[in-house]
Formats: sequence, structure tokens, C-alpha cells
Amino acid sequence: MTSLLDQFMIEGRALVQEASDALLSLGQGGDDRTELGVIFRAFHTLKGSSGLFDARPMTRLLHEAEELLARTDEQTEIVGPALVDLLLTCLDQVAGWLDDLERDGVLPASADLAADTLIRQIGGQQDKTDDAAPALAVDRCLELITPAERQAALSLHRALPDSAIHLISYRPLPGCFFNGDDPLRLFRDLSGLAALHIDTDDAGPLDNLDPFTCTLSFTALVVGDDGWRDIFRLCGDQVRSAVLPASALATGGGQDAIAAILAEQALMLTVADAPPAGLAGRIAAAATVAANIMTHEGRDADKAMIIKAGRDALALNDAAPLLQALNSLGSGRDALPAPSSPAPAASMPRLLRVSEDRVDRLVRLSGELGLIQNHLGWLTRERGEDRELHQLGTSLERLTRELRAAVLSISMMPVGDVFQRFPRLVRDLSIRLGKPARLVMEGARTEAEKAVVELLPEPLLHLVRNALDHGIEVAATRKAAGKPETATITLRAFQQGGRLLVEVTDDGGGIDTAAIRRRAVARGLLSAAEAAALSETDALQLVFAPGLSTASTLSDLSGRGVGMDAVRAAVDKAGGGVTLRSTPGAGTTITLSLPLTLSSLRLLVVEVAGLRLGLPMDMVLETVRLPRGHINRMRGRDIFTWRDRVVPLVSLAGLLDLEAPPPAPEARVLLVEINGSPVGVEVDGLGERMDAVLRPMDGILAGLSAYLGTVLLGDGTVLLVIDLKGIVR
Amino acid sequence: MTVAFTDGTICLLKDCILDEAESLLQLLLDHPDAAIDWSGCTGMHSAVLQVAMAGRRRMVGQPADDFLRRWVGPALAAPAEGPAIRPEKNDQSVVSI
Repeated sequence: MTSLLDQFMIEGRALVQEASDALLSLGQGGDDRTELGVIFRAFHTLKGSSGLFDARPMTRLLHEAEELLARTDEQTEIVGPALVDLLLTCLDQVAGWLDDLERDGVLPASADLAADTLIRQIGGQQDKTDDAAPALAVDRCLELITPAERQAALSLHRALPDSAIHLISYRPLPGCFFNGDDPLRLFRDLSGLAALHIDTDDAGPLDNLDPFTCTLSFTALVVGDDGWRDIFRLCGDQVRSAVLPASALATGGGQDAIAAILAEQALMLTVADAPPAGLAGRIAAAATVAANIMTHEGRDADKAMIIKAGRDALALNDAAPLLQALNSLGSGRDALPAPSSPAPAASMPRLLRVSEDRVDRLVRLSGELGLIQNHLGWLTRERGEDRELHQLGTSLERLTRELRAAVLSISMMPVGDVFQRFPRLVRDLSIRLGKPARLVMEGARTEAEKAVVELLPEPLLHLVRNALDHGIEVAATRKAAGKPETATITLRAFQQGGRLLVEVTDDGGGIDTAAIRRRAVARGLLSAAEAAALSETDALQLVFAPGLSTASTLSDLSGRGVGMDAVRAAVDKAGGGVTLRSTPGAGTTITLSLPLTLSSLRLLVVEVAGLRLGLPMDMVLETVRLPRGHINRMRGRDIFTWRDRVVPLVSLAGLLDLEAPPPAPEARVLLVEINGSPVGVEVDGLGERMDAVLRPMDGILAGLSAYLGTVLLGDGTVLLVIDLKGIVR
Repeated sequence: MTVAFTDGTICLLKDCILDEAESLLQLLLDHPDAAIDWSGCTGMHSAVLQVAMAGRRRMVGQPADDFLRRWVGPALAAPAEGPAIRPEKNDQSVVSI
């Protein structure tokens, strides 16, 4: 894959997302014009970029969509739901094609057909908008206007009180020459012309050219009153115009100030009615100003060029050479290096676009470095008479720790990146299900490691679908219950206790525990007596049991009874947990709790039956020493009281089928949290704490469910890390 | 005639009117490598302009006329300066990871 294509993949997907977001926020009370601008720009940029690749159908489709948008630009009232749907469908198609392009390097054979179908639909939309006068695609026209011209227009605007900046796009009729029209002539008669771009459609060979068919189009900025309309009065139907606010031309930044100054010099040289005697003075002044700017910018070659052009102009008594030099500065500005130019104002930190593999590699390498450092640290302690070596080891340890923190911060990403696909989902589902619903998102900026955030989409998808499908009642029921007809689903993310918490809340009917009990019995998961004996909280937990669904009918969305089960499995695998709260009639909240990082794990080493094992620290609430006398037995289980709660006690040796040593007078107990409730786990002793890189079990060990993975220790031995959740049931 | 071929160069002189578009096209076809000297040009009909643009020739000299020099010049100069296909502008090397 070429780097250009790589770039397009990243940029293209971002643009598709941007446009979708903006489409979805249309009509939500914000400034629709801003959103339309965003949408138009996204389609336009996508089209432009797609033209660089072998993706003709994509370019065609985007072109049509852009045309449609250009007509819609000034008439927000016709951007109805049908148009939004159509444009979203186009974006879906483009996203699909981007995947195809990335995978195969070309679009599938069916692409042309798909493009045609959508283009026909766009055509249908266009007919509706054709009744209205075509509007001017301001953004597209403005792209033609250079910074120097913008500045020229702005200074003219400032100099003329009560003037307006008119953007004019004039496309003469092909046969206009036969009517005696000379379009170019009209611009000659204009006063206040600040920019003029002339284009021709004719790119073919000369021998095909019909000199008397007009193929020209003009884009101009005119500063002044409405006088220009008189000049164009005979071809008003071929002209589209807009009055621009000065801010539309302001581009900000130091480079633009420089462009402005240069433009002013050029303007000064072209003042038509100035006395010719003053020309030499004006040339000298303009050349001096421009040369000074170049000195300031450190562009020595350009400075020399300006000085030479200034001398030539003086010698000829003609401003042309200097004008030419000034213009070349304006257009060549971006390409010229400016070695000693001051750094741009640091209001925004510069962001770098880096591919994921590079970051992943960095994470992996810093992990490996951590291992080596652990080993080195162990060696220096073992043979530790050498002070110098010891100091070096300490510095290395500190640096490694800082490096890993820095690497981790690179691979952090906001959960908002996952959230952003949900407004679309909720909108589509709520239409399909006929349940009006809105989505509220909170804490989208909450960050966690990329690997953690990337775990979220699937579980959240299940939860949001469930909420819409099962949680939320139909509008009539809601109304009868005195609730607003439009339901609210809330996605909320926040950090708590070193973990990432993500909640999905609906204001629906809550979970019907009676129905769950009945279903669990019907499915043979529990006996009727067992079901009746369950507390409300425990009955709620049944939704996580495999093969249970409470919806009365299966829909194609969810309700196959695999949802909640799958959610818990996915979250558990990452060392997380799921908790559920539900109030009948008021709604349900499901909370996912995940570690902030997966690449580095804080471990507590425990001893059991002469073995050393690792436990993820974030599960451990507390460690306590418990006199044997405080342990009671109830229903065949060991229990003890901790902070006024009765907590079950299990022995790790027993769980792992290991030979336990004779009990000490005091039990060492770890209080761990499993599925939201505390459990005491007895171990023989506690060892050190460490940051380690967990390697998942692979090969023949992959099937061992009791272990999360292994950690290579400094002394070369391997520490097994236990999956407490997997073994404490 | 305000459009003429002299010393291997196509010259535009004075005010080039509509009818000259055809003459200019013929000269461009007859002399595929000839440059266009427009330093003597004082005015140009749109039809002449579009033929000159389609010719994509090197322009010699600068007309004395302000309007032509300032506004028409760039349209005639642009194709000669670079290839017709402009690379996609990408000054946005920024996006977070």
C-alpha cells in the first residue's frame, strides 16, 4: 500500500465520520449552516482525494452528492430527513469502498452499479431542489481565492466605508458570443475588483476546440456597493453571488499578515490613476518593504530577487518586474523554506498523525525494555557491592518508568472515539423500532489505553441495542406511565479508582425480575423453588446467564439471549466487570468497569502451598490478617465479617487443588471484588508488588482458564498470574 | 489583423476582437511550439482569451494594460508554470492518534 493511500484511508474515514456527525446534528438546534459547511467540505475533500486513486465510482458518487449539497447550501429548510438518510447512505457506501480500497487496492466490480443506484436517488432529490434558484457554493469558490487576494479585498473593504465584499461566480452561456456578449469585458468595467479567477472547461486538444463556444467561467471578489449588478444585469441568470462577511476572508496567522503586506505593495504599484512621476518612489518603497519582510523571514534568496526586481523596475520605470516578483512570492510562499522564521504561536499543540502499528511497536518495545530493566535491577541487587553500578541501575529504573508512562500516554485515546458511532445507531434503531429515542453522551473525553477503548464497541453495541429493544417501552406505554414519549439513553464514561467506568442508562421500564425468574425456570437453569428463593439483586444477575432472554418476541436486533452473556465475557477477559442496577418503571443502568491499561499490569505476588503466583492488583480491595476464631461456617461455607458485611472466605490452595500447609493462627486474607461483591481469598503469604507485562497463555496452555497469563521475572523465572474471577464461583 | 505570426512568435496586438479567435486558433495549430507575445495587446475578447488559455503557451512580455496584466495574466500563465494536474493540497498533516 502506498503512503498516499494510507493517508487517504485515515483522512477519508475521519471525513466520513465528520460528515455523518454533522448530518446527525442537523436540526438539533445548533447552527445548521455551520454543520452544512462541515458536510460540504467533507464531501468536497473526499471527492478531491478519491480522484487520486483508482476509484472512479467513488469520485462520481461524491461529485453528485456534492452538487446536491451545493444547491442545498443556502436553503437549510429543505434538508429534510430523506436527504439526511440519502447522504448517510452515500457515506456508508464510501466507508465500505474505503475498506475495499485498503484491502484490495481497487473497488469491487459492483461499485459502478452501486454508484449509479445512489446517483439516481440523488437525481430524485435534486429535482425537488431545482425549483429554487441555484445557490452559490461559497466554500468552493473561496478555495480559489489566494491569501494575497483575500487581504487585498479586506484592505479595500476597510478603506471604503459602507462597502460590502461580493463573491461573484459567473458562468456565461456557451452561445453567449453569438449574442454579442464579451464576458471578460464586464469585469474590465467593474470597480472594486479584488480578485478574478478565469477558468476554462476546455482541456482537450486544440483541433477539437470551437473558438466560438464559450467555455469560460469566472470567480471574482468585488468590494463596493451593489453597482456591479448593473454591469451584469443582462446576464443575471448566469451569475450567482453572495455577500461575504469580512471574517470569511480572514485566515489569521502570521503568514497571512505577511501576505497582506505583500499584497498591499502590489496594490500600490497597480494604482492606475496615480501620477506617473511618483512611480519611481512607489517602486522603491514597495521593494524596500518586501525586502524587509524577507529579511525578517530569513528568506535571503527571495530578498535578493526582490532587490534585483526593484532595480530592474526602476531602470525601466515600469512596475511590472517588481509586481511579478511580488506575485511569485505570494504563490510560492508555501513551497519556500523559512529557516529562521519564528515558530508559530503555540496556542494549539501540534498533533502528529502516526500509524497504529508504530505506537503498538513502541508499547511492545517499552514493555521489553521494562523486562530487561527488571532483570538488570535484580542482578545489581544480587551482586550489589558496586556503588556505581547500583546508581546506574537506579537511574535506568527511573528512566524506564518514565518512558513507559510516556508511551502509555501516547496510546491513550478518548472513549469518545467509540461513542461517536452511537448517535447514528440510536437514530436508525429508533426509526426501525418506532420508538422515539435520543442519545445523551457524557464524558466522551475520558481516556484509557487504546487496547481498552477498543474493547468497548461490541459490548456497548449489545447494551445500547438491548436498551432500545427491551429496555424502552413503546411511546404509548410511556405516555400512559406519564413519561416523555421520547426515551433517553445515556452513555457515560468516567474514571474511578484507577479504572474506566462506562455506563449505559435507559429510562425505560426496568427489568422485570418475575419474568426473568419464570424464564430461567422454563429454560431449566433453575428449579422453581430456587428461583423463588433468589433475592431481587440475584434475580437481576440472571440476565448474564447464558441462554436467557426476556423479550417476548425475538427481533433481528437483539434478544437472542446471547447479548448480556457476551458482554460479560468480553469485559471479564480484560480483567473488568459488569454490574447492573434496575428500578421497575424507571429504567436500567449497566456499568462496565475496565482497567485503564492492559499493557502494563500491577501485580501482587502471593504465596500458596510453596508456590509464588501473581494477582492483578486492581482486584484487591484490601489485605487483612484474620484470627482463626473470627472465621465461622455457614451452610457449609467459611464466612467472616468485614466492615459489617458477611463475606465468604475461600482458600486459594483449595481452589487450585494444592496441598495447603497446616493453618497458621492468623489467616492472611485478600479481599477481592468479584462481580461487584467482596470475597475473601486466603493465601499463605504476601510477596512484592510489581509492574509487569502480561503475556497471554498460548499454545497448549491456552485452554487453562484459571490463569490470565504469565510474567517473565527479572531472575528469568516465570510467574503465573491467576484469573481469580475464573476460579471463584 | 491584430493576431500575427512574426519571427517564430505569435503576436497579439492592440485590441484583439472576437473574429481573431479563429485566426489565433489557426496559428496555434500551425505552430505548436510558438510562444505568444502579448506585450502589444491592449484588449482581448473572451473568445480570444479562451483560445489562448487552451493553447497553454509560454507568454512573452507584459501588456501595458493594467487589467490584462493583473487579472488575465495569471489565467494565461498558470498552465505554463506547471502540469495541468495539480497534486491534492494536503497542508493538514495533523490528526491525533
